[in-house]
This record gives sequence, C-alpha cells and structure tokens, in this order.
Amino acid sequence: VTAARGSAVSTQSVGLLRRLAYWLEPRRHDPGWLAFALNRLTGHILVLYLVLHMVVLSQLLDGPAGWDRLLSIFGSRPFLIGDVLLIAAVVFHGLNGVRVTALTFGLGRTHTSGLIAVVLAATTILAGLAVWAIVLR
Amino acid sequence: MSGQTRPAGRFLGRPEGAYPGFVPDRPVEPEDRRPVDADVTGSGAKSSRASRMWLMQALTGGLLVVFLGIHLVAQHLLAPGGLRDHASVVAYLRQPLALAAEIGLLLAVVTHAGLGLRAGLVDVIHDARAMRLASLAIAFAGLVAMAYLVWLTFSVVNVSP
Repeated sequence: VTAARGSAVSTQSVGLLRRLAYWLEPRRHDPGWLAFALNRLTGHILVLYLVLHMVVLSQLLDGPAGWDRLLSIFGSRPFLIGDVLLIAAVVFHGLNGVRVTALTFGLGRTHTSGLIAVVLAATTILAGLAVWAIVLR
Repeated sequence: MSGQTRPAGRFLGRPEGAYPGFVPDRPVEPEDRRPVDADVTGSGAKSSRASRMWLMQALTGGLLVVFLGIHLVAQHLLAPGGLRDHASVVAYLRQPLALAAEIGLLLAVVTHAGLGLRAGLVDVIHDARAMRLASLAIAFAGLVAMAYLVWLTFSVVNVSP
C-alpha cells in the first residue's frame, strides 16, 4: 500500500513538474509557441517587478531624504542595465499582447510568423534605443 | 469548432489553435465545459467566464498601453536624468489629470497581472476547487494591492511641501 501511495505521489509530482514546464517547452519550432512562452515569461517577470516597485514606492512616504537617496542607487550601472531589460520585457509583452488581442478578434491569423517577427524586431530596436538613451548617453 | 466563418472584429474567445492555458478555461463549471470558441455566433463565447476574463485581460492590456505610455513619458522621458526627485513627483501627482492617469495605471496593471497569474495557474492546477481557491487568493491579493497603491498615491499627494 505504501509503495502504491509513493508511486501515486511520484506520478502526481512528475505531472505537476510537467505542467509547470509545459508552457516553456518548445514545440516543433513553432514561432507561436515561442511567443506564447516569452509572453508568459515576461509577464511573470513584470509581476515580480510590480511587487518590487510597490515596495520601492513606499519610500516616497519618507519624504525627500528617503526618495532622493534611492535615486542615486537607481542611477548606478547595474540598475540602468536592469531598466533596459525591463523595457525590453514591457515592449515585447505589450506588442505581443496587441498581436494576440488582434488574433482574438480574427485579425492577422494568417500572418502569425511575420507578426511575431515584427514584434521581436521592434523589441530589439527599442531595447537598442534604450541602451543608447539610458546606459550609453 | 463550429466550422462557421468567423467575422473579423468580433470577440471570438480563445483564439483558434491557442495553446493550453492561453485562455483560462478552468475551473470547470458547466458553462465552461465547452471550448470557449466553440460557438462564436451563439452564446458560447459571451457566456463563458473564461472568455469574460480573457476579454478583461485584453481591455486592461489596452488601457495599460495608454496609461503606461503616459507614465513612461511623464515620469521618465521628460524627467531630467530619467527620474523625478521627491518634490517633482509630488508636484506631478498634484495635477488632476496626472493623478487620474496614475490611478488608472495602477488599477489596470494590478487587474492585468492578477488575470495573467491566474491564466498561468490554470496550466498547473487541474483541480476545480483548488483553482477556485487560487483565484480567490489572487483576487484578494489584487484588491489589497490596489487599496495600498491608491492609499500610497493619495498619501504622497497630501504630503506637506
């Protein structure tokens, strides 16, 4: 009985892990799957950022001393590089969201690969501009 | 699939060929048992809770494009050095339109994030009761986050100069 229970638990665990990994698993080199996985990944990154942002914003209540001290930290290079990655995530998630919404309304269904390529190209270009504007300038 | 031609410009529920979890189609309620895009010309897509959530996610996503655009331009692009100091943040938030845009942003972003998290959990949690609990937990956390952010925003606006 114990062995059977252990086997059942093990099967459930594997099932859970498989389900967890499912949306990151590349399928048949399908661009739609890549866009879907990237959309989920960037979405979860942005949720984490949102939580951190909420914590940081609470420093506004400490007045100029607390907030302006943070600004000097945010101006450091690691944070600026983080800003660029964040902008890339926001741009991809936003543009892909517009594509998916259009798809949901029956628009662009025959140009999936091309539209995903446009989204990725626009993300790359805007991230490059962000590198120039935030890190290099 | 119904095999009917889909009219462009009408909300169709789950996109054709969408991957599992793309649209939350669980917990399995009787009305959610059918594919959400099974009957786009009838009541199928409209009556499905999953479709309503997906539509809400699309709407809040659209609002985010607007409000986040305003936020990024006003708070970062136009600010010297890309970041506003404390006095500048307070002065900006004291403008009614700016305050409305920031409140709209935080309501849209928390709603969108909550629905997105729920959509991700649909892939992992296959038990209807557990999914319902997870949905409630996400809704509660979202409401707490909204209340906190609205309170924080007005506290900053009302801070002494």
